[in-house]
Amino acid sequence: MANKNEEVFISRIVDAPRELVFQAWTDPEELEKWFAPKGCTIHFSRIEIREGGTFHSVIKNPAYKDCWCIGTYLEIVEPERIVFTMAIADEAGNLVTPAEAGMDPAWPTETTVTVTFGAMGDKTAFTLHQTVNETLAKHTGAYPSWLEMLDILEASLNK
Amino acid sequence: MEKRRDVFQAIADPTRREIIQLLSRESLNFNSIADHFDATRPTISQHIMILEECGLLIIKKQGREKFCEAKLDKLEEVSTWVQQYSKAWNETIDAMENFLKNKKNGKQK
Repeated sequence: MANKNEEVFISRIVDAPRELVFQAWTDPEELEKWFAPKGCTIHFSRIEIREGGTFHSVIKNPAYKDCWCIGTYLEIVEPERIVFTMAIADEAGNLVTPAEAGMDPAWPTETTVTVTFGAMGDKTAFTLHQTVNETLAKHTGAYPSWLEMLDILEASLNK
Repeated sequence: MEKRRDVFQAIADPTRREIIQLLSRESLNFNSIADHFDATRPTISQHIMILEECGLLIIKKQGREKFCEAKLDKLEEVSTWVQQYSKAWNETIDAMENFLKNKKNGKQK
């Protein structure tokens, strides 16, 4: 069942030292080799991995349209933590509004992703946390009400 | 200004969230809902109307009484969003682990 905090939260012990895991997240060549869901590939048309740096990427899957994305690196703390934003964009790198993407106008397409790498000998305690972008959350005024409502939904489904 | 009538508007207000919470357990008539709050009945009625317009509840007449029933499908949209992202991220992190494993094995050879 979903995490209590109902935002995306992933926690794993990764069988590699954290320096290598951190490198996989901060070396553009390495990122292009793995940074996409199953069956998809990723290509960066722009990526500057430094605080304040931005990226523009496309995820390709033979079965779907290309999915363009833009984002900004907010924090890069070697070798323990990376925070970046992600939002749906078009091929030219312009933000796509939820309405244009065929979604509810209030739908959160901008999110913030935090990844952490904890040292555990030759392994890494890895976490990934994705939240709705705070600026947007304030704009819609509906978050973290979301999380509260999801708890209610879950409770009602389990009764 | 155009009134927003969507799931976000519905749950942006604490009283409305509490109403949904009450109704997620059982259907209630207007008076029973109002009894849970210090606010006046017209205020609570107003919240119920907004929730209905947002599609979070339906009002059913039973004799002279009006009962409210929660419609939680809209909230499921939010849940689906979270699940889709979770699935994609889990697959991505699988790919990361494979990448790191292959890299390690490659070095050993």
